Amino acid sequence: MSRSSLTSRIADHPAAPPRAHTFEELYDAHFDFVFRCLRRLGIAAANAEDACQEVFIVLHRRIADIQPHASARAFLFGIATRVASDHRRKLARTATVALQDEVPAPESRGDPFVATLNAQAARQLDQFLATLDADQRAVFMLVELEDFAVPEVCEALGAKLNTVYSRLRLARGRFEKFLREEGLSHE
Amino acid sequence: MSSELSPNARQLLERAKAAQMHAPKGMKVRVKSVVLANAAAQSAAAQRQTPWTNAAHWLPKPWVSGVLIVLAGGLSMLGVRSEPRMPRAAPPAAIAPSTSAESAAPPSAAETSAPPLPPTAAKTATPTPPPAAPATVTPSASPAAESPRGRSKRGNDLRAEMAWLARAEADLREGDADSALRELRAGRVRFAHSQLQAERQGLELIAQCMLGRDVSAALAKYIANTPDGVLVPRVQHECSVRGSRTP
Repeated sequence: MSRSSLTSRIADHPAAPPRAHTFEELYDAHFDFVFRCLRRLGIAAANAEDACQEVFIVLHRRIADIQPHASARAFLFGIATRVASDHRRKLARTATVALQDEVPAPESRGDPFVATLNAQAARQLDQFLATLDADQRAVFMLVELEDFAVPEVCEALGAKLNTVYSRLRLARGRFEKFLREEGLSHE
Repeated sequence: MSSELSPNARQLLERAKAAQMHAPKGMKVRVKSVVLANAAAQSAAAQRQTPWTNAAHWLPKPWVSGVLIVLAGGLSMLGVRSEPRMPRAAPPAAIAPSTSAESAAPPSAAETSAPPLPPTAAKTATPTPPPAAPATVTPSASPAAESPRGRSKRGNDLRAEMAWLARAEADLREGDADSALRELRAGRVRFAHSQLQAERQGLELIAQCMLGRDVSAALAKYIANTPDGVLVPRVQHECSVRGSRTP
């Protein structure tokens, strides 16, 4: 994705209506997002529920801090990053194993072959994410997997625009290298 | 600035996105119950905590403590040299008001550890305190003083209560209002002095609304009693959706 297409995505990104967020809305809309982020930030499946609880307890306490125009996803990702970091510190010996151990279960509906291919791709992606440092992983994850606009990533990470673009470029380069090394690139 | 991904890489990403991880079934409901119960418990605790029971409110600032320690040390040295037989001032006058305040105020951990005078200053002023003085602030004299075992029991009760409400909440989420109502009523006896009374009432109202009962009077009373309750918007929503008249 070129910078021009990214900027067009920024332009297309609809502005949030200026009203306060409610906990129920945010919880229902973003629970799976928080779960995915925590897992991809290195939280083992066994600890994901506890980590989700922590994230939403903080959200419940600080919901008034979210500005009406601000991105709630960015705010939640900020909390999730800190919670994941605390968990990793506490469980440094065990937390990094499970991400690669667990493959998302193939969806029961649809073509089982496609579901298996998708699950395999998800596993390979997790392997790749585990090789990135925390900063690049966050940027790559948000832009490529969660469809964040770059300014939203800046908001979530508290980083400058150029820094985010730089991390994204590096992470993409590493992804291509990873695919070549794993024999997944057909070029 | 950010290089383009190859079609192959993009395809792998699309496939991985199609297999997005979702939270296991039931986790969303469980987490929400715990978060709301936690918020309710914290709000109840905050309501219980009056400024008088807040140790930070009435403990002297560190620099004041320092000055008092120096002054008390100097005075005690002077006192010992010039009037060795001067009768010691008994501290009960200073301690007595706090004892009554403690008995009037709701229990709090801060109370047991926060004497009204800086302990260091008191110790320095009376190098050998009379044995009767501390007896006025013995832990058993104040309801605020609670053994660790008592605190632990209360913590266990709260956890059990939260689990009980979480079960009822899970039943409600599954649409089984009958079962939720049974669960809530069964727990009424065990948790007669519930710390999460408002949450229990809210869930009961939701269950009754789901069963199509007219709860408008109870609902009005509930909202009047707990206008800031975390479940109030949800109860109002559920009951309006189910056709019960909301105040």
